[in-house]
Amino acid sequence: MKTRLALASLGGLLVVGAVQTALADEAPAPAQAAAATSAAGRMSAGETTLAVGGFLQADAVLVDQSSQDQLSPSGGEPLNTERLLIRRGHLFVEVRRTFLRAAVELDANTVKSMAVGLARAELAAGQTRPRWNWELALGLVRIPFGLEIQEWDPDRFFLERSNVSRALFPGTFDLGARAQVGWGFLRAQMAVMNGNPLGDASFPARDPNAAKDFVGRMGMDSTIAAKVHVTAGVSSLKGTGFHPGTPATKNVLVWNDQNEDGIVQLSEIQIIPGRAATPSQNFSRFAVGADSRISFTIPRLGNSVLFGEVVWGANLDRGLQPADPVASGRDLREFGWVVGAIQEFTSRAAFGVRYDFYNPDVDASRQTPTVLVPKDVSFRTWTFTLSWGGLSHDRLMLEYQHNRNALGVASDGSPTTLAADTLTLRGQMVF
Amino acid sequence: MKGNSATWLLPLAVAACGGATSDTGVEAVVRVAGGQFYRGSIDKLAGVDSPTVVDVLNSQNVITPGLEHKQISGRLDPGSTAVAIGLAGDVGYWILAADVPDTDSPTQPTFHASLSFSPSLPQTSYDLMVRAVAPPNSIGPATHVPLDVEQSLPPTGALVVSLWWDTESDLDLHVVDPYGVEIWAGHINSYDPYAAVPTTDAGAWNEGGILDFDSNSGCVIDGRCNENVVWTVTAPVGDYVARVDTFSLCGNSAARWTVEALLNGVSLGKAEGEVLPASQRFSKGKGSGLTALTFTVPSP
Repeated sequence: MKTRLALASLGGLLVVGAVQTALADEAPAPAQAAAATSAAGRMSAGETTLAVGGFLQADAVLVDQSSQDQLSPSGGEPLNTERLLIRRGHLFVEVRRTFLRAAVELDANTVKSMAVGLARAELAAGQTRPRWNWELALGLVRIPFGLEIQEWDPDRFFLERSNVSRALFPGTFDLGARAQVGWGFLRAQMAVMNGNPLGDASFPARDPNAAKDFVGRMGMDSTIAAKVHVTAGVSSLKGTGFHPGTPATKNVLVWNDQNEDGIVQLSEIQIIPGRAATPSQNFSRFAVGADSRISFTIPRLGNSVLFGEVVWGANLDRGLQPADPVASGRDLREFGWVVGAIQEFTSRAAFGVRYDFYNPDVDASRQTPTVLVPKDVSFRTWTFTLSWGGLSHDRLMLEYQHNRNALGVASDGSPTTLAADTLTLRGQMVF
Repeated sequence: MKGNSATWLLPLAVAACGGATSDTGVEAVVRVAGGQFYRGSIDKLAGVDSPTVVDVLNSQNVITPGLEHKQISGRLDPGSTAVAIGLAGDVGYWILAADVPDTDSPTQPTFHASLSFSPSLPQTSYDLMVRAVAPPNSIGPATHVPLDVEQSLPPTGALVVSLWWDTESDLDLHVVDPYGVEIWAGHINSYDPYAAVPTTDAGAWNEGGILDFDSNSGCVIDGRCNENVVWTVTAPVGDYVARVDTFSLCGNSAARWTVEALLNGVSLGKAEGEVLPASQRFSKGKGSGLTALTFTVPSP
């Protein structure tokens, strides 16, 4: 599976650079480790191996219908999104010693100003044998749920994950402990995690409550025929969310100039009494999902990939429209699915299409002047991606996203799509 | 509004027609909180005879530039689902979903709008138009609400020390009177009831120099960008110092300010300057700020 191998000596150490293709047809290896070190420079001394690598994704957002040459009236943030940015610039160091592995990965990006932060930090122990493997990892580890979340960023053909994936799991890494085993074509992963992954809208990489989330996936990963590879599984999450309490407030006098004469009158003064602090509360949340991916090779054309994933959940949205059943007074049930296809045209080019659906609140309703009616608050996105460089890690991608949502107001007052189509160019390189 | 740098690519958005835009409408003269902005003047919209606006409740027809939270409300014909609100001739109008009817007219949807107006509103008259909307896209006739713009007049008094600035920043005016008393947001009146001869005059507090408003306090932008210290009756004779304190630029890169002192309408001095982010680092409170103007009130 190694397409390139280079050796060089450096101070008595051996430097090895290796690039592996994604479709590993060999003994099952922990996906986490395989992905992160798929392209890395390595130095070995005795039983210790040091691997250094990373990747860079630079974007040019050519068109974004939601972009405005204005500042946000609320936060003062620029609303222009038609810009050049470093979406991800990762650098990782990984040390292996006998059956132990330690890795630290940093991410630098300019998504919201200049930011450098921890992307991964894990300490793992594991073994890989021809028929089986196991690994225990502790730290900031990848969340074992579904397929999209466990995909290494440069491996993903589309620029970003689907809406349902980004809403329920705003980050792909969370602090916790993860165990995974593989035996033959069977795979099993389980993790105990804080439940506030990187990218969480409220407490990223923190944990406001003592309860932990339990996440797991069981599935299979096998080559069922010549150049036909199938991956499938079911995932689940059971955890505890957090509703923040409020501090005590003082009495406040508010003047509401009802007659707009600019003069304070007694009838216009309103007393808002202070309130005692309200306690924070926990709430339960869960998700179950199923995923499948099949890849095969069409002679003289190239590799093909078909994939799909479906997720049901409750009170789990932590990214797009964060769910808080305590504040809303009811459980917020989420449902989403994604299907897609990728076709390689020789090794030079590839084209992919993806449709994803995500409803952050399947029970949503809205009050019309006369009656309460159900409201479809779903996000539906078509994504078309053209890649120059095929399915390799070093490629240039052009992606058009057509978004449908219920964030706008039509001229008759009903919900309608708030235009948010985008056209983005991305250059990516793994080193 | 939306950048046009790559609008030649928009034809690629073949299926993107329809729906609403993310346009904030911030350059419109009138803005409606929670409304969806649509470009095009409301008076140019083709309409039909119904639905109609039953009535509009509006407290004042006089508005000032930068006015916020002007409330208007009203009732609509049965079947109306939204209301369009805008100024005739403005760059756009706003769609606001209708509310539930009041109990006294249970068939008539209502609307409640909170309006704000551009700080650069010229002094003229405007025609605020309110039109009821029913599905699919029936826009009824307009109900007109005349609005007159009244510019904020500078306060009058024996001595007026004024500070204006040009960005939505939190600048504070500090004035030190000849007795060394400093008037600022933390001490808004120089009158000292304990230092003077005891008086039974309940209005004696009015003899001091009084700060009229702490504009953009804590970066809660009110659009005034103006503060005045006013002695309404008589001003003490002697030397004064006016300082400008940059409490916060509220994210702006700079603010240009003007300080002027008027004694019975006659200028005693005027100064202009600019504050930069570095000015924010000094301590805040009494004695803070950079000296902008010194002047003397002569004996009568």
